[in-house]
Amino acid sequence: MLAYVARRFIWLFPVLIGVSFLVFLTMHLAPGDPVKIMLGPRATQQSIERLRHELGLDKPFLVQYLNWLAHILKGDWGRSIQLRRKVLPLVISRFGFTAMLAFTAIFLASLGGVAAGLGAAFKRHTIWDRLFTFFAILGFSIPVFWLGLILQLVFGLKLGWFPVSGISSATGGGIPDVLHHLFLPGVALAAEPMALIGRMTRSSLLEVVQEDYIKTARAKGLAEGLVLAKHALKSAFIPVLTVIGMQLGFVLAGSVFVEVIFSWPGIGAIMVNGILARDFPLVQGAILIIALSYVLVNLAVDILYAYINPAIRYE
Amino acid sequence: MASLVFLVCVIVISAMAPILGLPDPTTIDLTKRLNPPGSPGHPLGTDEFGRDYLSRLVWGGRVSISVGFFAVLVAMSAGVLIGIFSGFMRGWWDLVIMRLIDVLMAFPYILLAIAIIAALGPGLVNTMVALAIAGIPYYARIARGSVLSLMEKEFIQAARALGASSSRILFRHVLPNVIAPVIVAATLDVGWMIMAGAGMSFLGLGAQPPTAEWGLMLSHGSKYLRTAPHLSVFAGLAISLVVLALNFVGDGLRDAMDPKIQRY
Repeated sequence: MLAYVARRFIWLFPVLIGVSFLVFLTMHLAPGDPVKIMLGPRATQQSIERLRHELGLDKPFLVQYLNWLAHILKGDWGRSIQLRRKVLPLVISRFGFTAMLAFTAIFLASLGGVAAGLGAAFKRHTIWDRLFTFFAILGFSIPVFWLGLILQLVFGLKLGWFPVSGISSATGGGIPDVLHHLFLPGVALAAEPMALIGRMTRSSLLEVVQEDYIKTARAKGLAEGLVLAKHALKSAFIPVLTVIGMQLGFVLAGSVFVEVIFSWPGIGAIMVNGILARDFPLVQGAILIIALSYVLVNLAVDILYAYINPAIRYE
Repeated sequence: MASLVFLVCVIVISAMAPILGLPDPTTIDLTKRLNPPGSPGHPLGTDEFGRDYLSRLVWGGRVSISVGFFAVLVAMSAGVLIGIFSGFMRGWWDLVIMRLIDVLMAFPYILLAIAIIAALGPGLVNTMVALAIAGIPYYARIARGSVLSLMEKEFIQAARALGASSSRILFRHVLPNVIAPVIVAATLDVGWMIMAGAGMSFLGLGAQPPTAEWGLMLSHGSKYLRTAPHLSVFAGLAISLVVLALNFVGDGLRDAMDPKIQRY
């Protein structure tokens, strides 16, 4: 197990280097001169050249990348042009809200998806199973940004059951208030992963019940409920846990739509505003932190999967 | 089958938008702002600028569906070529290409597309390019996997033994056998690309006003959710129904091409 974890960690470093290089490259390719953007339209050529030299933008591309990487590793992620604040503390604080939303979505998706998938597997080839399949396909056909708007319209504006924006009310209210605000965006973000988790649960359980050891358990006279709960579910959940882990990564990135709709103060919202305002240090920082978290979540999922399924360590 | 018929109808109607006699989707009439569905002359109402909503929905379909198909076509073409080359050449080429693919796939797809748009700047063409580039690694992996399993087959070894050149083997024998799983993946992916393209426009990174595009219409409609909810309902419904139909067609295609299912 330790050897497997060590191998995965060793492989992590070139991936992180590659991710950072790609982030730097995409911003470097952006049209427009960042120095001119920073100094404004009245800047003289002399001041432009001086600032360009100070920022190291007159150096070769690889040197610029290495300098940038050195600053990133030292915690200097630059300063947001529009917000005039240091990027690193800003993106970390916003990322916390995104993580809150993502974990809520995954929790709801896992709960709903596993329950629906189990129900569909137990009631396979019945009308309930067909309905489940239809709703599952519907789940990943409905755009998250439209679902968010519909939830706002029905449960927020028409019924008034939930707030439609923000993280808490003006008067405060502590954790229950935050959870109240978190529900609609969480459900909107949970729909697609819930459909995928449900389908995986169903197909995984149906596959496992065909195994010989399940037939043996039935032949021994064990009650059906015990056969499924004690023997089948444990094996069936291994691929389901992998899907849940993978969906966490997707949800971290996909939360941008929900954050914009519900005015959730996450990192996706400021990233989009940064792109529209051509605030490259902020955009770079936001993309970097989301990409890094995605890589680390995938690593954690791989290690968890290897812990649960020892066969994978030897592949 | 019903999904396929529905899709064909949507595509035909959208393609025929210029000759359907619909009102101009960009003509502004501020005296008719936010009219509800069923208003005289406007079956689906009007938007915040008094533009006919049905007309914008039909014209928007041309843009939204084109984005999806274009992105998939480019991603599939480039991805298949890269994947086949990598899987066929093996050695250092395969190692370098696959490590680059690994780095690209270390990004969530949407984030990679957003990063590319951030570099290129918002706009419809840039969105199509970004979605296509972000989709290349997915098809490259599928194609490479197919090539690796095909290279062990006897008919490929027989072709080599008969002296066939590498390019002949690649295009005559490998490519036709790789294309089937790729097409199934692409059919399922078109719906996703349509959603992603609409999503970029929703965020303000894709189609720009006054272009009629479903995601952009949703974005503008969201500002009038309380007073004119129809602006948020119909465009989203259009996206959902088209993507749902594409998912059903893709599922059907996958089942039709699966030899196990055909046998039984």
